[in-house]
Amino acid sequence: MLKKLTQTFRDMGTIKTLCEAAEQIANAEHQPAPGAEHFVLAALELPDGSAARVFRKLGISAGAFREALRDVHRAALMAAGVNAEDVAGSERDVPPLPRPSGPYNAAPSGEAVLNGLAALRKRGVTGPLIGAHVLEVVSAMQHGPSAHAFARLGRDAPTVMAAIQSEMAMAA
Amino acid sequence: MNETPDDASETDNPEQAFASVVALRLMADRLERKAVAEALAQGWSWARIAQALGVSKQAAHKRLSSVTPTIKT
Repeated sequence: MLKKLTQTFRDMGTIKTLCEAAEQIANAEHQPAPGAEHFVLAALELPDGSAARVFRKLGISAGAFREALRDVHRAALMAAGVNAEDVAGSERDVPPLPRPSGPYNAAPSGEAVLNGLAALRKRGVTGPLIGAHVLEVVSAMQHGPSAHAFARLGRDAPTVMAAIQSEMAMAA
Repeated sequence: MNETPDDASETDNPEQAFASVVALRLMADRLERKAVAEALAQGWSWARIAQALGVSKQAAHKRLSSVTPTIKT
């Protein structure tokens, strides 16, 4: 009972760290609410190091993933007919967003990550909440910037999932 | 509305079309903040900004009041 309670408190701390980091990353990119891709980047910074180990197994860095996200975004704009110069211009000198205040607000894909993490416990997942769990939830999402970024880096969903499961097996 | 060959290829690939829609929304948000900063620098009122954006003054102020006028260097 005490162990479960301690675990819950520890998980709450991890979620808080994760949410704050994801929000900061999203805000830095002029997005008011973090999406799943920002939770991936935040998971890579968690002190347990499991998400970073998954990325190492995949042979990619946080920087490469971040760059792939930017490439995906620019490619999507160019596919809609926006030229490269206008894309670059739209990214320059954007007024910063205000400091977040009030209740925590995630984008729908970010909310899906948080719901997915909560569902892990219902599925019987034990042990502390770690960054690899975030990657597990996000990599199950078929669509969105994260899936496109992994694909752009030449890592398909089964490859990503295999690296996550390998890390989970090591952590167990 | 007549569909050009380019339009057809975009709408035939929903994955790509949705990715473009999401990216365009993000780009529009950035352009909106930049335009508001410039408008404020040129002395526009919030009522005028709201009218130009097609929203109420309250809505414009609520969403964009953190934007400060662009400083010319």
